Amino acid sequence: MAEVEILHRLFSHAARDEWAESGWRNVPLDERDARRDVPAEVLHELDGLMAKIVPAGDDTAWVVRRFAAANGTYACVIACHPGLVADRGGRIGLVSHARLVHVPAGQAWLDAAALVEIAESFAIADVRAMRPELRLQGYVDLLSEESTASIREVTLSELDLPRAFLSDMLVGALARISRREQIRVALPPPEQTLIADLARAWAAIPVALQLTSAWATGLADGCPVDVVFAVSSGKPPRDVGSPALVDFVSRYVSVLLDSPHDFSAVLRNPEITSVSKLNDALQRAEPLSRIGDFTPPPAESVDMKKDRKKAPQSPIPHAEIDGDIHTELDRQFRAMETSLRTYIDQRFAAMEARATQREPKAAPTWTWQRGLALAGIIAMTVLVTWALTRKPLREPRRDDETTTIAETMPAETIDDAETPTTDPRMEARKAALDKVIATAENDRKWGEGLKTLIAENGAMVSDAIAEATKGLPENHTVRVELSAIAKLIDDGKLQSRDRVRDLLIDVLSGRRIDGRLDDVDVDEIKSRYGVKSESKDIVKGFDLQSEIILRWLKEKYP
Amino acid sequence: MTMWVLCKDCWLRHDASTLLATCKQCVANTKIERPEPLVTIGGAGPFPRPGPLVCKKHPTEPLDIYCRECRGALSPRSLIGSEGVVALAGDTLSGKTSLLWVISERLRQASASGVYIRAAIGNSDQEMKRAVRGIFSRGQIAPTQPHDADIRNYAWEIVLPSSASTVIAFHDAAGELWSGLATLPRTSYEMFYRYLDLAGSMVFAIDGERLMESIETAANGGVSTPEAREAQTHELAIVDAIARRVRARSVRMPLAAVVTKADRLWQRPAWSLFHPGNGATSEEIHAAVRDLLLAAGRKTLMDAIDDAFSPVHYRAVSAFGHAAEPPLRIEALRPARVEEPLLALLDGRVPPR
Repeated sequence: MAEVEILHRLFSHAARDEWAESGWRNVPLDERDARRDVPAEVLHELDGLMAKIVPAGDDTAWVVRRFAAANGTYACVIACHPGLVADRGGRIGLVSHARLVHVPAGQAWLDAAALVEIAESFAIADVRAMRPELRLQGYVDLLSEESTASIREVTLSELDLPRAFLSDMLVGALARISRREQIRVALPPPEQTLIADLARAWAAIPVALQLTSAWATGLADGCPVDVVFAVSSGKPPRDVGSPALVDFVSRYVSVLLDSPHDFSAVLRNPEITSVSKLNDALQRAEPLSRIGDFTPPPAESVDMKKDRKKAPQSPIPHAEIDGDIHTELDRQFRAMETSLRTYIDQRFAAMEARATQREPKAAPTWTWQRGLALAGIIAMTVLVTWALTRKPLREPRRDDETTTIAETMPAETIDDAETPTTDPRMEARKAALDKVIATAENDRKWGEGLKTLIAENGAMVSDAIAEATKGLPENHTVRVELSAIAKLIDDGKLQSRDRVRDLLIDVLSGRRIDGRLDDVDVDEIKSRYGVKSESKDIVKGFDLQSEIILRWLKEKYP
Repeated sequence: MTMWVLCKDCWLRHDASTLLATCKQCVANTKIERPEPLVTIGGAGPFPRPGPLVCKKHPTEPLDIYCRECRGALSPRSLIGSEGVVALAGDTLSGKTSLLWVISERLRQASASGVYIRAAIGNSDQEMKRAVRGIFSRGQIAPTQPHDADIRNYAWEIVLPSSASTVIAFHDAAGELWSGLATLPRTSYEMFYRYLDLAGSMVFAIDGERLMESIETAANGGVSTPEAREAQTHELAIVDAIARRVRARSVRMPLAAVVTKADRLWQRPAWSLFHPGNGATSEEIHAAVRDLLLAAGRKTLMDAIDDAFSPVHYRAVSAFGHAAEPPLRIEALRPARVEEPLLALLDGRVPPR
């Protein structure tokens, strides 16, 4: 529990006196004003957001966001009250009130929920009882009673909401996260507690991911939020989220609510800034919950020598393993078996050859040994496969068995798949790229270099394309087209490189991504990627385009 | 004459290369419902086309076209020429929303000169209904929020006296945006700036009530109220900010300077000319409005307008025909001369088709 100062930001159509400017204006609040403590860039974004909030009906509209700052984050809840004040022309206007609290880095608090609680208990009825011209001043006076908020940390008991509600809220919030498309999602009643329940459910999203999330209730069009939740209108969450997202959220909620482990470290993890990173974290944590009753055996029972009497059995009953895991295990087992069989056959063939050379007339006597060796190797394979699948969970485990799920997936290991270390495939890619660039630097035939790279190391280019387009919406034309091209490259069927060059340059340019190059600042992109070519024809300069792409790839594979 | 397809939701004008399209027959055959670049299925080439947009493979199947930016469906009739869209500017409380609503209603029937709205483009009518719903529900119009130009965007297909048609499009922006235009960040108001970039003519609303107040203050030898002074400052700031953009584009932009709330003025003998029953000609109104602005101390404003815009039409209108005191009742509204500014701007347009 922490006692935190509440900062306020107030906008209204009403003027506090005749000297104040007309129209939608900030109402200064002296020492309580957020302007005092909140960084200018956050304030700028907040003011822009508040200008665009309009309630859909006669009830208060709510917008919830979190802003990033150098020393933590600011949780922000905005309440927009319609029909509370009148402007100079007598038109019924709005009062928008943002409450913010500063949250230190590394904390996962129920801050939005606490702010909603405070906002809901504000004596708005007392303000409405005043004469219209006095309401704004009355509102400001009442604010003096709100100075601090008591904020609890997020715990599983705080997230004790109906599972379906929690899942639906998360699907809605994550379906278009950061896109500000203002999709409308319908949630089950009761409406009276909707905003409070939503604010609590939002706490189930990691804080770093919340920074890209913005949601609302009771809001009309034209406000940059991801989603507007309502009880009576909107699409069902399953219609706005993909089946994969719905499935992911369902699994996430299961891990969150059913796992005996402390999940709050995941909520605090600053590295979880995207749904895919949360998914990665979930996948690392998941086997514990997906495998039902299965818990890793205690350390003493792992030593099979001490308990030989027990019948050897698979530690993971097949019936309880998810189909995907089972398929993957099966695939890995078969691959290893095939590989080992090939190896053994080669070794025995060599031994037979040597034996034949020593005793040409002796009959081969290896049948029983071969069978024994094969059986042993297959048994080893099973054990190795099982051990490999458990490895990510087992590695960070401590002897005292008090490990949390979060501790089993520390921040620095979440992205370790992206860290190029001594992966031979990565090294081969780097070498190929270096060779192509060195050749092109000599002969200036960058187009030929790119052609060679695509022909000989297509996967390298297609992987890079996939990563370059990751930030675009899934249905973005350029992303769709580049994905199709990446597949052609993978299949070795790419006929022309014109389009891949155009689209990639468009993505890399930092300008509007529309599949066209006429808005690309040639000098800027050349300088960004250290391009040495003197050409400035970005539209038809194929060598220039190719050099940019190769230099960009070099940044990716340094 | 080259034309473009307007997406009024994004304020982008598209040529064939930036449009997406689907053919219903292709979708049925392939079971793939994905818009493709228009040039790949409907052919390149400038607008307007001699015939309807049809699929290359199915020449009798009209294409549905979409904006590449927002992927929203577009009307193939939503064509604008180089004259672009009409900007409706003015200070807070100058009556822009009311004026726009009443114009859109009045032009559903042909004006005396034969101009009328043939059809709304996209959701324009629904948007308009939402914007003025306060009149229906509370007998009072609500102030406009300073949104980006992503809502309150309207486009209508207008039939001209020559029976040709054209598209007029507006965004109804809050007065605060216009008065703060000089410092408005493009990062937060990208669509609004796109709308400005498309604007080829402008209706500039001047609050008649504030003019009346200025005239009375001058007559009494008094001092202007803060509101009257603020209105004067904002009017000039808006014209200066837009004039800078017009000069930067090196274009000639027609402007209709419209005194709103003329009902407050026409009760005075000096301005009775503005009453619709007076029968004054456009030229007489033009001259009378100039006199009014001079009398209200707006010479600097007139000079700024005359310097930056050409041609300039001065008009006086009343959206409701009486003071906008609540409760407003639809049946009691008597709009006066509201179509005249728009018709003056349309007068010089070349019929596109």
